[in-house]
Amino acid sequence: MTRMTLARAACALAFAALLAPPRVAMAQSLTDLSLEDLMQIDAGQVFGASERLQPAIEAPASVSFITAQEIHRYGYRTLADVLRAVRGVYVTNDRNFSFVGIRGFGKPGDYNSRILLLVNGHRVNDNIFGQAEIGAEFGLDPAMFERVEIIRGPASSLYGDSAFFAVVNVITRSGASLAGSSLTVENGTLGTRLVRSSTGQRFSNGLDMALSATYEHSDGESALFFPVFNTPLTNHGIAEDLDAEGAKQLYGRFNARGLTVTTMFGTRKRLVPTASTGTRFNEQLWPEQTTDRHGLVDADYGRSFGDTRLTMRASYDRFSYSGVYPLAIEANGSPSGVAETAGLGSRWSVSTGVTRALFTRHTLRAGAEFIDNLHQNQRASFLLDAEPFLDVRNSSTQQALYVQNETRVTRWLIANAGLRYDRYEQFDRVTPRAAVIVLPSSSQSFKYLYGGAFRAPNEYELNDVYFSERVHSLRPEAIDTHEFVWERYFNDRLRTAVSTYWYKADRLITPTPDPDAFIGISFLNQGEVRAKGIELEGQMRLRGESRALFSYAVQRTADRETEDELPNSPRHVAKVRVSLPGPTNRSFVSVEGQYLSSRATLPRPNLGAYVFATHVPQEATVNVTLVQPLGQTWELNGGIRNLFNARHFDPVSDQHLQAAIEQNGRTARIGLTWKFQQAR
Amino acid sequence: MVLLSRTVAMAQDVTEPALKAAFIYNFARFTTWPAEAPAGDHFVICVLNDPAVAEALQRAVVGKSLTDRPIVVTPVTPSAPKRSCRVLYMAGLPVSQVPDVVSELREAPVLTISDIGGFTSAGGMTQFFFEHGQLRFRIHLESAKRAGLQISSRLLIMARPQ
Repeated sequence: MTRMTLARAACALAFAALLAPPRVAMAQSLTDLSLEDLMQIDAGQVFGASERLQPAIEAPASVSFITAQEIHRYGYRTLADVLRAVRGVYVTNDRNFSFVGIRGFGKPGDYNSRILLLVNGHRVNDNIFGQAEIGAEFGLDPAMFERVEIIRGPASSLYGDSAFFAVVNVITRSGASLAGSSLTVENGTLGTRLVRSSTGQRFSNGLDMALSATYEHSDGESALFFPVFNTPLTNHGIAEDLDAEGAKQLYGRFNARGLTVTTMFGTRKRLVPTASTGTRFNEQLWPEQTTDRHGLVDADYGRSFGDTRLTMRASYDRFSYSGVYPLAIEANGSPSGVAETAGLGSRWSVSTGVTRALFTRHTLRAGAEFIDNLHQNQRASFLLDAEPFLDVRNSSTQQALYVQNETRVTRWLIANAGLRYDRYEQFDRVTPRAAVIVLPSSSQSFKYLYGGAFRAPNEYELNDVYFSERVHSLRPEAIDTHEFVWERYFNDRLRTAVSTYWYKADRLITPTPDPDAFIGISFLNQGEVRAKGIELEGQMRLRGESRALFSYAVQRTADRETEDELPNSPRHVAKVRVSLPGPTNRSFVSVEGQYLSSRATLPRPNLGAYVFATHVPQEATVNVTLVQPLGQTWELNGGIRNLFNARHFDPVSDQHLQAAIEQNGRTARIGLTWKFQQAR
Repeated sequence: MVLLSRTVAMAQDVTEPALKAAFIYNFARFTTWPAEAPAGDHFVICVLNDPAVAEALQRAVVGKSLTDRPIVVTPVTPSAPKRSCRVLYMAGLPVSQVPDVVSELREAPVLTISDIGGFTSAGGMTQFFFEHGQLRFRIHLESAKRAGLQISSRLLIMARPQ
């Protein structure tokens, strides 16, 4: 299918859905559902848009959700898979990390530092790279996600740093949600295996407890061909057995009397087959590899006094990473040219907030946050050297105050305003947000949203050993976004959303050549980006338990000076998801298709006739998943990703010689779950 | 006991008022009123301070009857008499005003429902709350018994503890 016909088909579908709501009785009406079924319905409440539960239709943002049930039915294995399903979001992978693109902004090699990632409302971007880890390195198995809220648009007025393009809030499963024990074993192509065990329960005294452990390993592709390395000296461009990935994840959640303690620990190790950062290609003795670990203990207490709700929170995060980079191996086999890097980021965060209804029309939320970055350490050394060539040991503190107010001016009009003050050691920032929401009825809303956000320079960028003293003058990046949203529900079985936005992002921290710097580049606040786009979405509940969703985003995101489209910025992003019951009783087949139009790669001078010198082609991939219960206690599930074995490529950072890296062809997995479920 | 619960969770295609309306209808289905409950030709569901839920209820109960009477949905004002309601749903009040509304009913057989936090502690019978985006409820059985209402065990086992 060509780009135009697909885009047109998506538009036609969108407008058909918007203009011709189905009046025929396709689905059961809600009153015909049993109370048990009603209790399973997701009422479209969002927490992360205002730090309190509110209907998404009234929230000062355009919000999408992915629920545990969708994660199960579509067989999502990472947070990256979950985000790929969301309107307008695209994820690229360089066979090490996964990178989110949203609203046409997906700078290759940018470690997701312009997306704020939350676990139950708590920030988990690390404090060295500002990275939102969304692959297996996230450290939490998606089977433990209750729901994921994707809150589009800037939200620094509530969350500060990194809430630049979107906030992703992962809400984890409770004991009541797990309601029993389970054991899952999976096997798949590329030597993939997974074992997961979980247990959870809510006891009659109110104590709620959930625990899980996951082990996952994949051997990966046994041979990967990279044309840019196709020389006799570099194994003709074939990387052999260098694609393995292994992850271990532990999760625990305890809740009693308003206190919720969430703990998680994850570690992921991955071999890097791409010879990024100038390492030796196909090095077998000292293969390039990275290991990432994240541990979290988060205690959150909430209590209501009449119309006032008080929350208090204390959290400890610990991130660590290490890498092996075989830059050179001597003729005698000595690894003196093998570099090792290590990083340790740890922080305490303490916050408190109060939400209060005032004069029946106002809901006020105010809060304060204190972050103590205990360790922001980066170290690099050659294997046989006594002294590291980089040894940065930093620590820092941040403070913030914020307030936001929602006013119900009349039944059909909500005005929303928020302001946050962030204080860093080098600078401070004030960020506003405002929204006007018109609700002609309870099933329709029009929103005008204005928001600002900032992204502070991170510790990696502030490293003056690598990037020269020039980085001391780095200041936060800034974005201003305007957005119109129209959301509508029809007959409780169709939801549509249209969103159009434009933004300007300035002072983007951009690598620039610098002869004084240790590695020849430094960072400057000099990128300016202008973007506009429109996004459509329709979600339907068809007959019985069938669900369907389509989304389409078209955008133009360009450099202000050159007016060139940004690298890795598809003009069109379209998605379709359908989940249908069958073929047998209680089983489900779920199919999803994702389309991305062609994307520019980062400019690669001097790479000759490499096939993707300027663009990767458009791509369409299809995944299919089957969930088949067997009796009362067993369940079989199987999935095929990239069903039609489409060749597709992602643009990658300029740390690579490759402009783009080929992604996996067809892969399959099959799993068996044993469940022991407690009666409610 | 081994049970495999049927998962039918669905996402984002239902408005909150419509969902509450379906719950309210179900609460009424699983409640038995005493013989001396208000007579009249209709089963009256009153809605205080929530036009969206009233509207959703009106749509939901078209053609439906309870206790052999067709259901009607009536928006009421705070000052209106409410003893003729079989069900009273209220929203958007500070919890401090709940005892006034409840005491005005003087233990008449009116099933009171609300999403106001602390409703059951303030004398109400059934309270909605959200858990992970799904609607849950608590029931204060004593208040219901005092008003002469019998609540089915089917409803009670699905209620969350106080």
